[in-house]
Amino acid sequence: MSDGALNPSAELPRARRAAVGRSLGGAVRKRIGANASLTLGCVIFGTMLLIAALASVIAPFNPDTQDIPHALTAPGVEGHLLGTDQLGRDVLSRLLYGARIDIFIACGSVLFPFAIGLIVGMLAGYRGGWVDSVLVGIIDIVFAFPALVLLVALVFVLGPGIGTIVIAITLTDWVSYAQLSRTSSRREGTQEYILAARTGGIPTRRILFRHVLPNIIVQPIVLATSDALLIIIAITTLGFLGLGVPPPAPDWGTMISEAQPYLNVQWWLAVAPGVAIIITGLGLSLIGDGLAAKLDVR
Amino acid sequence: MAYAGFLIRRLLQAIPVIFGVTFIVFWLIHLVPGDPARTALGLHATPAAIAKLHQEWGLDSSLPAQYLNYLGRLVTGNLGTSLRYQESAGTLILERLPVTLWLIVYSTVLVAIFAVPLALLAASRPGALRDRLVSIISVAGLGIPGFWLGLILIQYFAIEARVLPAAGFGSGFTGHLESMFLPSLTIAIGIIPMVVRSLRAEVLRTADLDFVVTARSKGLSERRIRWRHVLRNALPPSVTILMVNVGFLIGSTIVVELVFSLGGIGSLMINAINGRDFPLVQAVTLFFAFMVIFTNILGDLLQALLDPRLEAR
Repeated sequence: MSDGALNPSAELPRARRAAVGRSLGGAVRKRIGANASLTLGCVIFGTMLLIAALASVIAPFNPDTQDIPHALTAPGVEGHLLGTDQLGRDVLSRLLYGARIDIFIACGSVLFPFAIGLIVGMLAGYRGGWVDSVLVGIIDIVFAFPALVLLVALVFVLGPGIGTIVIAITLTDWVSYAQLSRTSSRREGTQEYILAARTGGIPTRRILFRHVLPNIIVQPIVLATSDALLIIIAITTLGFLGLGVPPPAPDWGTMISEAQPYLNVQWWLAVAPGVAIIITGLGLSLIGDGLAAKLDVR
Repeated sequence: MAYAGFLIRRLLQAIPVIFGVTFIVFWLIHLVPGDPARTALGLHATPAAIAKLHQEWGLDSSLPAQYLNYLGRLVTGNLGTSLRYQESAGTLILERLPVTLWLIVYSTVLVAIFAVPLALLAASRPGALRDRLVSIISVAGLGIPGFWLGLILIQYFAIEARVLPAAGFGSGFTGHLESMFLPSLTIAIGIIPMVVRSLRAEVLRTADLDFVVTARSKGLSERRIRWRHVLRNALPPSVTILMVNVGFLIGSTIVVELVFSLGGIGSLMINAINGRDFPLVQAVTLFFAFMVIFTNILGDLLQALLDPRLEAR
């Protein structure tokens, strides 16, 4: 948040640099050795997380309360800072609660594929042999589907709901992590220190989780940040296609879909949730970029 | 001769993937909670109608028998029969193929037109202002949802400025070119950031190689080095980059066809979903996967043409 967050501290005079060290941005940077994109990304995404967590406190209205006589009011009228939608619901409140739903689903949808892909890929890559060949085959097969097509088909057959969205994303997405960790774990398995550990009789389980895992986890973490961005877009796309969180729960994609007929006059109905998605995406994208630069991962 | 061998090897590699893909698509219907026939026909379906559908889809036989039956149908070119249209799913897809193909090819061309100069510009002086600008644009561009961008483009370019059509396929080549510009641009904008990033990295990697130093010491102009030597060697990897994104590109057609009211395969899938038309959803999913597999083979062949060293692998 401080000006130090944007400027490389090397360009600041020494006295100022000391001051930055005590500011919020400086403290964050000192702790994790962050660069400008990473800091800015964390600030943006952190703010969105805060909004998601505090939605019930800061939202001025109940997001689901309809008020048909006051439908489609302009921004600023009667305390509706962003106006109301076609059912008279407060757009700002829906936007804030939408952050809770979309970011919550996105976090779950990143965590499961990350953990499953990482472990399966690591085991297969380390063990090699037929297990590895089978995994490579499965990865190739899942990658043959356009991700969105498979996702839409899965949500369709499983039925709508938060749980099915997370399951469908996990089923389509774990292969990216599996592929990444398989490659690194294969490479890591041939390193001398691993061979030494093996000849030393250390159990495979311990080798994998104590030695291999810490050395291969960086790339999947960087992937997870850029993946979270794609997942947020996927979730809102599902909402737009009518396959998202069932109504009346607010979701940014559904809000944009509902706003389509009013784009000509009440343009803010579609623009506001779009901007919310872009800001969240920008935060994640910056974090991914900054992490990749900091950890030297391409 | 070597090229023919490469082609055959590549086709053989695709066979297990094709089997796997058909199995997943076949399996989709069994993921439906409860009875898929009842779900498809709705609550008021008569037991006779449900039984008829059971028989038609072969739901009463064992799973392996069902799968073999499904494969047998596919081999004869039968992708299933749509519940809603009461027509062959294959025919429905083929009717709509031109729109989707147009969209895919057009957006690929737009990606190339924008991404190559941007990547070269960024890579021409790494770390400089131009590099930063390109990087900021790609970082910001990554987070724009395609369906939203499409709506905004329609609003500004088609409804307010009235310079381009808001919907439809248009007629004739120039008509398509005009009508499909905004939808293709929407897809392209989603992919350009990823392509620019990878291509920039690739150009920088190539620019560090010995032959570039040699070219420079021979006194060739920077311009010639960049276009004739660096770009030429960065091309095969950029084909890979495009191939990696082809799934994303094909997936985007669903959303974009819906936003721009284009009657392609993507909007057919959405119609099928809204009509709970399981066989048609399966057929379209399978067709899209085949498109990706086919494009990947095509990409590998193109790459081998651009870089003969790859044939040996």
